[in-house]
Amino acid sequence: MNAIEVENLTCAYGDKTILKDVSFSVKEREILFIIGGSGCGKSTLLRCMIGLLAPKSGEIRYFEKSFLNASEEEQRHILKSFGVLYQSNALWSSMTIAENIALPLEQYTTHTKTEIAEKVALKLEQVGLPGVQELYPRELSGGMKKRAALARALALDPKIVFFDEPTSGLDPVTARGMDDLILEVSKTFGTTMVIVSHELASIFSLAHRVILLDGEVQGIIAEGSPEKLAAERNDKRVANFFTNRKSNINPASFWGQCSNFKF
Amino acid sequence: MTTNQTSIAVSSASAKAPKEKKPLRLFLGENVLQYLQSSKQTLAFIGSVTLSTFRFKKFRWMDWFVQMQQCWQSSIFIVSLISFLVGVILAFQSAIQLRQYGAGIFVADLVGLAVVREMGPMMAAIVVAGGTGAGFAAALGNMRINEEIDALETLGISSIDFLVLPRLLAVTIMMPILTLYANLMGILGGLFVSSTLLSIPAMAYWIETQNRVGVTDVSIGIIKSFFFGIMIALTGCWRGMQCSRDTTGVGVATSSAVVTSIMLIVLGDALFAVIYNALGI
Repeated sequence: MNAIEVENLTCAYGDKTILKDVSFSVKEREILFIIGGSGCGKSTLLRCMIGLLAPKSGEIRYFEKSFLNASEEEQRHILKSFGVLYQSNALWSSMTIAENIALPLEQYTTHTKTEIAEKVALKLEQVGLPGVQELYPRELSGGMKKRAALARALALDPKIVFFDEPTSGLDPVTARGMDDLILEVSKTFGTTMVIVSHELASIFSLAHRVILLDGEVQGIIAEGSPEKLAAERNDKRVANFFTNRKSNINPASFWGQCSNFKF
Repeated sequence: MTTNQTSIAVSSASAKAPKEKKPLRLFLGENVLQYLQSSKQTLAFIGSVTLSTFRFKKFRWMDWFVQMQQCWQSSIFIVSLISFLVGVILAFQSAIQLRQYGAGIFVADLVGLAVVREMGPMMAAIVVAGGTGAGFAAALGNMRINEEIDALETLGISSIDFLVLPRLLAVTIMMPILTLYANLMGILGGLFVSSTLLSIPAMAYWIETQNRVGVTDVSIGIIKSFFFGIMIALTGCWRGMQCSRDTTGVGVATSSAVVTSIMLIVLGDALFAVIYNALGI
């Protein structure tokens, strides 16, 4: 069964179309990476999928239920079935970590305060961050914030988790630790994951499948396992992304552009 | 010519090309459309807040209490100082004229009425707009940039219920309280000048104020302050929610919240003056 189905999705900011007729699906328990160069529409696609940006046209289905055409109540029900880990973590800074994780539980469950406190402790333990309940987000390091944000994303035991650049701003060791945690969560809970990232190390260690977006095409230019895309030699855009990303900067062109500046 | 040279030539040519001027009608049309769009969004926001007041079931009482506390703390000192000084200034200015006719005691009437009906509510509102209203815009703007508002929305939690409603109710309740306090400080300012410089006994000043300033006059100011509170909270929250995600976003949101609030306060005050005049009060 497909957990997510995106059909002919067109996303735009005002008159500027970012993505045109994008279609793909994500199977249950699959880890899908959305990759591509800066400005190609990765985050825009993610924002459309989680309901933060209304697409111009197209359809998004979660577990065969329409998300875009759903009533407000149905949409709330669908929103409950997924968690989101934001690039900036988006932990509510005026609340403690415990309050951050407890909020979705207070909103959507009938658990007592004691039960919620127990669940918060459990979630924090699952992400390897026990005993930080009473701290505020500002008191945590970057890696700890990511883990706390993941604990909040997992609070309602979602079937799907979306990640926007989960390892951005982390040192390589902490980033690999985050990758291990994502893999562990996926294996333990069978969660479907959609990850927007540039990190090749994360892509090769986690991805079941990858879709590569291109800004000029305004859509998907390649799709498949990371190994398959990395072996691609015919399409230079794909080859560049996986094997020769530095060659995107052409020295002659770069200095030529610089000479046009007037100081 | 190689491909690189061609691209350089094209880019330098485009850099030298003069900017195409927009025709006036296009410029005006775009601005009108932008204004209409912005008005539509503002109305939608006010509508959402109105609807939110009917969803009181999960109201965040603790946030409401904290916001009231912060509003009081950030405003009380400045309200005290400014209101006292406004009372002092009014007393000084009126005394110059009234003493010439031997009517120094009427300083109490003038200061009492001016403070209670106009200056108290307006000064308190301006201070709250500059402190609390700007604070709302900055806090919500930061939350917008840090994706905290997005995180609420993707959890299916209304940011209006969660963030705006407690702030709106806090300021709406605190404004009349601060206005009463500002009234008292303004009258004390007048009393201070009259008793020290005009040789009017403090008790005589106080009795004259009591005789002239009635419950209706105080109510007029309090009703106004209630509406000023709504305007300040809505403006601060709206500017914060509208904040753009760039580096200047919070600064622009904060300053525009203060400017818009003060403008609305003055416009609202003028409107109330017309209404009260029509009603004969």
